[in-house]
Formats: sequence, structure tokens, C-alpha cells
Amino acid sequence: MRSTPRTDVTLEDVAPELAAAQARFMEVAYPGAVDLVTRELLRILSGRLSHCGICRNLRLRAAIDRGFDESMVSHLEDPENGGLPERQQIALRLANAFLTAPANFSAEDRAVMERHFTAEQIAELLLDLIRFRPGSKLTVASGREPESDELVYA
Amino acid sequence: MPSDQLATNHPNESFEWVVSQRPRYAAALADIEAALWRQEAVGPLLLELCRLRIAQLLGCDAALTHRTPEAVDAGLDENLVRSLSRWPTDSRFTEHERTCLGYAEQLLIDAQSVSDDDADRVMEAVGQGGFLVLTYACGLFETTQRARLTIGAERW
Repeated sequence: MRSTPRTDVTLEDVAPELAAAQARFMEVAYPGAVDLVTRELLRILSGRLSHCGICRNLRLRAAIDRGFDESMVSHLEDPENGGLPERQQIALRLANAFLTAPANFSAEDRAVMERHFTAEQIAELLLDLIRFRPGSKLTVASGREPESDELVYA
Repeated sequence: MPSDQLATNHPNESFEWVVSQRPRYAAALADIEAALWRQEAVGPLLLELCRLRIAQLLGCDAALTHRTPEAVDAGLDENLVRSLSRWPTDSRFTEHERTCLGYAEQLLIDAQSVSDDDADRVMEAVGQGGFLVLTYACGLFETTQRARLTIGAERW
């Protein structure tokens, strides 16, 4: 991980409208239609697969208060074997396919998804996945990861 | 695998329709995309070449056939687009375009692999601000295309 910024400027300095839109994108994400624990699992998975130190190590206290447990993290990439509810399994299957091999999300997967999630919730999960990675890549490539690789609670 | 080979029960569904079911969130994404094409650190032609190259590598037909209006208005050369897969050796691409296309490919694989030399080359091409904008842009191009592929959205 690189913890020394590669630039003297930030995105806000050079493209303030874009930076403001990025901040707004995060603001309107919460509160949402999907439970916070499920969204947290997808966020951490995205951080891990994007190799972002901030994203994979951040833990939201609000999600912990609502039932997130660290033991869930060990099965993010193979949710069928982690004892997670089917609802979270299919959400993680969506995320794994999105992040690694989109073609792996079949019509059957979509049907299972629609049994557990409304159209609004599916939209929210997709928009979460769209939102996570660009910020992660910006953090990593610009050299703004933290020095520590420990969990951070917020 | 090209998106038109994906099994889907929603053949007439568009990406915009799917995400619009969460309207404020989808509107915020649209605002980001609009701001991206209005910023001045990286020009629309270079952004469009990177967007299309990412679409080639991900196999996103919907993104590959779409043309961003700002790029078209700036004079996007379709001959250059047709040569995109040959950017490392095709002399029609400028050195700066090759640097940024190479960076877009590298980011797609793993942002952790970006070295100081890689970053310096991009900054030489588009400046520090352009480096940041291009990095975010390529990430956004990637994830919006991944979303289209995952849900099998055929229409733009």
C-alpha cells in the first residue's frame, strides 16, 4: 500500500464540480432500501477485490449495531459456505459476478435476486457497486491509503 | 463473454431503467457523469478513447456501440476508434494517448500495480489533475459497464 500522495492537488482542487457530484453520490446512498448489513458485506467485498486498504478495513458501527459480525467477512467470496441467509448469499453472488466475471450472473441468479429484493433494492445494490470501486482506485493510485492495515471503525 | 450472450429474462431492459428504480441515487450517478464530461483536466476525446478501450476489454457491447456526445462534438475520429485494439503500435495514436490508454488498461487489472514511473508518465501527459480525473473516470467507466454486463442490459 502506498501512503504518500502522488499529487499536490486533490480531485476537488482540479474538478470541483466532479468532486461535489462524487460527494453527493455518497450522501444519497444512505439511508437506503436494503439493510445496512447486506450493503456492508458488499462494500467490504468490493474493497477486498479492488485491493483498497481503506475500503476493506473500514467497519461501520451502524452495521455492527444491526447485526454485522466479523465472522461474515471470511465467506464473502464463497457465500454459499458461510451460513449466511439466502438473501445475503445472492447479493454477494451479484457482487462477486459484478467485480470479477459479470457473465457468471445468470438469469436464474436474477430470478433468485428478484425473490429476495425489490426493483428499488436491486437498483440500490447495483449503484453501490458502481460507486465503491472508482473511489477505491482513486485512493490506491493516488497514494492515499493509510499506513496501517488494521481495521478502522467509524 | 459479450453481453449479448448473457441469459436474461429482461431482454428489453435498459441500464437506465434498472437504476432509475432508486431515483435520487441514479440521478446522482447521472450528475457525476455529466460533471466528468464537463471538467477540463482531461479532454473528451481522450476520455472517450479510454472508455471505449475499457469496453473492448470487458466485452461490453452496449458501451462499445455508444458514443458520448461531448466526444462526438469534439471530433472523435472513428478510424482511431476502429484501431483501438492496436493502440500500442498504431502510429495514429499520440504518445500521450498511448500513455493514457496503457494506464486505463493497468487500472482495469489492478490499481495497486501502478508504479511511481507509471503515474509520472500519466502526469506528464495530462498533469496531476488529469491523472486524478482519469483515474476516477476509468473506475467509473469500468463499474458502469460491469453493471450493464451483470444485468444483461442490452440497450444503453
